[in-house]
Amino acid sequence: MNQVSLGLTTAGAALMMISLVIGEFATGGWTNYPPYTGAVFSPGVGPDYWIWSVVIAGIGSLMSGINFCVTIYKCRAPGMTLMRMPLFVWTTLCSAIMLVYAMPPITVSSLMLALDRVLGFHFFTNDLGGNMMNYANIFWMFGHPEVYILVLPAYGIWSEIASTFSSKRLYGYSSLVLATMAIAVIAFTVWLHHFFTMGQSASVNIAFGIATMVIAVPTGVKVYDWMATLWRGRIRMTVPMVYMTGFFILFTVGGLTGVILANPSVDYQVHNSVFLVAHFHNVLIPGVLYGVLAGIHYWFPKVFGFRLDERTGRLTAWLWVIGFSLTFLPLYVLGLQGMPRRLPSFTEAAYGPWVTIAGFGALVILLALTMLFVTLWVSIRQRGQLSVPLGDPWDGRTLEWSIPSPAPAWNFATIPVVRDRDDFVARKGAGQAYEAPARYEDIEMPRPTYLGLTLCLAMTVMGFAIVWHIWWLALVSFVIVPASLIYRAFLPESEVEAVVPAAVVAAEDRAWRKAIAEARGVTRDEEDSPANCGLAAPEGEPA
Amino acid sequence: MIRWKSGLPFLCVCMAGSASWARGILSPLGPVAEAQRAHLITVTAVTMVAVLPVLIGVPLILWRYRRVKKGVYRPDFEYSRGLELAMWGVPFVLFVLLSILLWRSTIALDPYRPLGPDPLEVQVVGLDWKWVFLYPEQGVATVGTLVLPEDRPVTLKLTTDTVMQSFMVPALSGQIYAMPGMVTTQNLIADRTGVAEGRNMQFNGPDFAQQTVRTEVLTEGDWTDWMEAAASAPVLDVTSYAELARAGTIEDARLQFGIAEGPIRLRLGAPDLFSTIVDRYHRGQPVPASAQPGAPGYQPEALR
Repeated sequence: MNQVSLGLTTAGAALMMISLVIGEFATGGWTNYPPYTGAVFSPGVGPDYWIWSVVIAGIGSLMSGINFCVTIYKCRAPGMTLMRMPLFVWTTLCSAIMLVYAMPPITVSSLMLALDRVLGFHFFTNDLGGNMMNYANIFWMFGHPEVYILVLPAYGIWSEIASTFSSKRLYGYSSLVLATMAIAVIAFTVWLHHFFTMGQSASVNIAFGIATMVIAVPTGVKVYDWMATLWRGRIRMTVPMVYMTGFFILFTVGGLTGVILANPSVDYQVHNSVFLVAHFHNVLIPGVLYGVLAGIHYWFPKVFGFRLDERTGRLTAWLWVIGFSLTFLPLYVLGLQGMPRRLPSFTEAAYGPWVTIAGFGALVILLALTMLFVTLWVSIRQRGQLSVPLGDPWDGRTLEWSIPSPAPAWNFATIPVVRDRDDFVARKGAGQAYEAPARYEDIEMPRPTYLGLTLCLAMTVMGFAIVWHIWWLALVSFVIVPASLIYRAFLPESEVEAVVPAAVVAAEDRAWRKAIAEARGVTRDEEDSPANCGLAAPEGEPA
Repeated sequence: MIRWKSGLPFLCVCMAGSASWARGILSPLGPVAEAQRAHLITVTAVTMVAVLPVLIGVPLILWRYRRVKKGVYRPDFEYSRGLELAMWGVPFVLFVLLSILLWRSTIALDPYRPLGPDPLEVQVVGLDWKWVFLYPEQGVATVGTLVLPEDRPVTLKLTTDTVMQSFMVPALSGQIYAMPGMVTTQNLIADRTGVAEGRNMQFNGPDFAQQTVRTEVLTEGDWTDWMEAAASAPVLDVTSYAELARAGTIEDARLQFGIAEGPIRLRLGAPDLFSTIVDRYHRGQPVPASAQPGAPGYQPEALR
């Protein structure tokens, strides 16, 4: 199911890429608002590509959401109660729940628009009772929860990073869980703030404006919780912490402008302007993108077995912070000057200096992006010195750091029994971090399958065929989807799953434990040196 | 107007220091935009109570508790009732305060709320890519120019005869959507004479950038003279409207009416033009692309 979700998301992305070469994409802005995107005004294929890439990728996202929910509810290790889950798992769970509820509206609104365009329906047309306001409503019932779907996992990453790189327990775990849940629920009650200016009555705007502002409370609590986590810690300014510093300062500015935008009377002025563009980039770049980049630096050694180069990584992080600030902060001024979004040209002299600064900032972002690849390149070349086969390069707190890097296909040789939120720290404290298990068992693993790839190709072809009205091809490729699912359902168990014998698991696990027994634990002073092979020496005693 | 050239960024940066950057809400021409600006400042100031601790506290914490300093270290600190209370309590109190402010300002600045007796009604029709203003009482119509009297309440009634648009003159008030077959309202007052730029804020095609409105606020006497001068102007009736409704810019409208420069001032030959435009979408019959202004397949003959 995971593979199929990825396949469908890839199909959506592939359609978008194809549109760059054959045809055009989303000629009506990312929101694809009718009636401009209806058949009467936009007979081209731009809106069609948008619709089908969104619908296909959306089904993939919905399936991912269901998959994460079920996995987290049903497949936890013994002792891993909900309130012992790492915060990253909590925020992923909330995000997944939101996906399940938020994806259907956009699938529906996009398909309704497709019916309008292809079969001459009148959901959102100007005539015969069609109404574009319904599109705006349904679209944003997805569109607003969507931004929280993006940012919640990043909140989880920040929680892990703040705690690990200050060598401290996470402050306010329960508060953070509560705040995450609160955000996940309230996010569904604020969609109307994307169109305060559509002409509804003041009382409707007041209700949604206040609902919007209340989200700032749990979000603020989270930021304060992370600050309290760092307080009285032993902070190491590693790459993820540089991103987190940028996040703290810039995200807070984004929060401030969010509160401003929640006020309908101000929103009337800055809606549809680059002020709004500045705001959502201000929360999504420092909030989500920095979070993802920090998370990549943090978990990269776990996945690939070697650390990323700190020096180039740190330079990249600072370039991102500077590049973002130069590009998007001037947009606040431009927005207050009344500059609309999606403006292809202007003659207003007052915009000039600010647009120039933003343009320069965009170059810095380009440099940051280049440095990202340089970091990767440098790290791959020096992977020998950066390798951390023993698995714990950051003096980690949670159980993923208690296994080798890169993690074996079966992850844990034996399923651990969880006793604490920072279970690995507790084990290290008790000197039981690397106790060998009494016995090993066979492990059942899924076999590689072409199912995801098949569905990806079929859905890409189907989307392309519908966009260009090649109906026979659309039908053929659509039939492949249920056909391949039914085919797989009838495969014998042995074709779907493979068993890794206990002896294989035991041999690999014992070799790793032997290496650990022979290795020297490194202190945090040596974290960024070739001596760091992934075995951590204990951090100093409490003062 | 100073033409901005990409080769002069430093001159422009210097310019930024002068007052020339104050546009729109930053230099209001009337009480609505003034109140919006005041509300913006108040909200920013109140929210600072929650924001400043982060902006100041984060650098301090990062410096004070950096590892090499070997400062106080409490690895198991994870809860403090007082801190918890402050973290939830202070933002909540701010939220309540801001909600009250939001409630009051939203009612006070509701675009539907009349701002005084005897308002001047101006009907606004959005076309691709120009705004048409109808003054039914005065029998005047303009394209791309909105002329208002000083100190008199104004009620704008807005619709479009094409896709959704959003009308805004930021120096006077915020924006409101204009949609085909529907009428929205924006009340405003201009309380000093001057010129301000307005525009469509909702993307609607290739010449979206050109869909601006030059807004002039004149004294009552000058305004009356301005309106009366329309008596000898070209006429806007159903036929010329059908031609005007073609997708095109203000420059195309100039060619159509033979007005080379200055405002496009017209005599309104069809007093109920506005309601005709709105009603056309409610006849229970399809509006084909040929009769849909703004659509690529539009034929002016089909509208007449």
